[in-house]
Amino acid sequence: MNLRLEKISKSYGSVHVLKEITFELKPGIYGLLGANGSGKTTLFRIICGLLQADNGQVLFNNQDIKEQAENFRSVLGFLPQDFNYYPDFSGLKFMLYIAALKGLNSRAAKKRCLELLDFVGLGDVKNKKIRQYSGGMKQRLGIAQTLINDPEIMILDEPTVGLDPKERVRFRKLLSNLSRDRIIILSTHIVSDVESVADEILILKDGILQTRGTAYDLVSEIKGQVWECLVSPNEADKLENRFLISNRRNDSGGVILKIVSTQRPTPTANQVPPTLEDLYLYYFREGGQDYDETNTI
Amino acid sequence: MMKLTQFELSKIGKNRTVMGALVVSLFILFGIFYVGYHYSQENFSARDNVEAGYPAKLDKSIKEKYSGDLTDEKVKEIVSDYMEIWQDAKTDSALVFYPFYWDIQSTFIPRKNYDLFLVMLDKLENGQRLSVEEVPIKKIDDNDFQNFDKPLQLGNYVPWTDLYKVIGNLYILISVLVALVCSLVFSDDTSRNMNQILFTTKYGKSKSLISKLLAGISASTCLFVAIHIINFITFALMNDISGWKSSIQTNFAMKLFDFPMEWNHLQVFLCIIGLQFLGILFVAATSVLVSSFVKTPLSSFATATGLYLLPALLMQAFKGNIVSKYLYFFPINQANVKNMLVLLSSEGDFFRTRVVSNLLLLSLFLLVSYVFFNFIAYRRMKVWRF
Repeated sequence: MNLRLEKISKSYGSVHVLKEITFELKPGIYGLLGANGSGKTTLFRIICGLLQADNGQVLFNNQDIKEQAENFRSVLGFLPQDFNYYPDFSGLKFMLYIAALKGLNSRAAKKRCLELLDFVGLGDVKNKKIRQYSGGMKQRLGIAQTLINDPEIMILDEPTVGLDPKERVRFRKLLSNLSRDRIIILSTHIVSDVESVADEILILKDGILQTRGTAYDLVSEIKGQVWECLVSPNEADKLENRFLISNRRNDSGGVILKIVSTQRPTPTANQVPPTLEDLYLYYFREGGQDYDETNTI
Repeated sequence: MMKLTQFELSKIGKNRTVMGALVVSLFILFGIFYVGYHYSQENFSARDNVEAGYPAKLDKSIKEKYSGDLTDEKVKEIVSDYMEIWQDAKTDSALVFYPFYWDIQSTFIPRKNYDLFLVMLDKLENGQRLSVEEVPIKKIDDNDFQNFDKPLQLGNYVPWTDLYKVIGNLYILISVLVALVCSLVFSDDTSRNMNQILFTTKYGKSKSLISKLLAGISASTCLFVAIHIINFITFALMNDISGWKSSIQTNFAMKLFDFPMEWNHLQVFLCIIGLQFLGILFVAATSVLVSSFVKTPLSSFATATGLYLLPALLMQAFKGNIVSKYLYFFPINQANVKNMLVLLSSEGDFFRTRVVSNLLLLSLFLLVSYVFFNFIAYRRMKVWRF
């Protein structure tokens, strides 16, 4: 099983959202990282057939998805970012509706929906109207509906939005359990979610796939470029203007800054192991700003 | 498919706007019945007459005494009876009015030639009574009645006139409700951003679309049938319906004397109901089509309702023009039963000269439009993309 994107381009007017995106995915979990407006949602919509690319094609098992639209949709599970449920449907009724749309027969559908509602922790409130659900419960319901048809391809756009830390841990476990023989692509701003579950991470910036690799590989890109130093508050302010700061916390002796820089930012700065968050900031520093790293304090 | 249609119907049924509209419609329905039946000329005058000491229902005597062939003798008998009732009442200082008698005397004794009531008053003031033999009653043939092999049948037509007025009002109510319900079919999911979930499922762009169209037509049909059942039961409970078998030409309130079809009131009712149903299908299809193009149910409803009313406005602008012939095709014109019957039987106002041909042409237009609009809506959603 493979999903391949070949030279996918998409523009809205003069704005090029995606520029010749090409990659291939095998079963596993893929985290798509990108800033707001980097084209993640557009890319997902193109993969799902909800949006027409200007150029390029999406191939599932080496066949264009347009030529196998219904077959492709029958193996697809999609959780979009922004949508509103039918507030007067119960959770169970909504699941049964989606099950009918996904072609499950009534008996199998009910069994599957009840299992999934239990699986995402909504078994006790399955008959409650969705308008009474919290944001997290709605998000879990959204995750459950993607699983109804036991999809081979799962596309999850910001799946952890609205989930509390406990729910996020549960979601990550859930994804790990599902990843075998499936292609799962998720986008999120919460880097730690991707870091802990994704087999591979794809970084999308300005419509271009900047890089891809395991978290370890990607983090290696900035090995030796992450520093930590204890400075006074005044110095911290000055450093913030000149360097990419990935963290700032107060300490009894001053301020501890975590800095991403090719050069040692202060004589007292110590190298620390980079994290995916540092990498994210490195790639998505504001406006692609180049910091003045020529002078050290 | 049935399961999906049930879910689509459930989405419509659980929509709060629809629920609210249905509740409001019940009040409007009550208002239509109250004005159309309770406060109709017939029932209003009947209550007045009861207060004045007359039998609870003159309908019964009308039904028993006058039902049957319309003849000059029968007209004379009716006029005579009315004169007796009126002159009796006048002496008792109670004015009796009843539409059945009023319509017939005004048809056969035109006031411009002879003011029956002034003459009766004069006579009463002089202590005399006017006899029917002294009154110049027109012959049936003088009124240009349509002739058939069998004589025209007279009956208690007055309640049926009320029924036709009521179904005209109900038609507008149902049309607006159907426009509201069908406006939701596609635009509700679009406004909720649910298309991205629905259209990435196996049947999202095939069976689901058909089930939505089926839900729209089912909901519209249910509304139409339910309201008409309620209406007919109300009508039957509040009125004598024996006039169903009387000829439409003997409806002296509608004055369709030369209507060319040998139809009774029930047949006219069924014909109009059938035509209105096709009109409702047209409204449903228009609304569904609009809902496939716009992003919110409100704008869909506003546009669909505007499209429903537009021909009535254009009709004012193009009155008597060739354009008005085409505007008659649109459902808004079916709200007025009498005008519809006149149009269908007219020789120049519409496209054909025979009622049945005009009916078939109109029905064909409505049906073809219904299928066409649904097809366009289906195709539009089939290729829907962000």
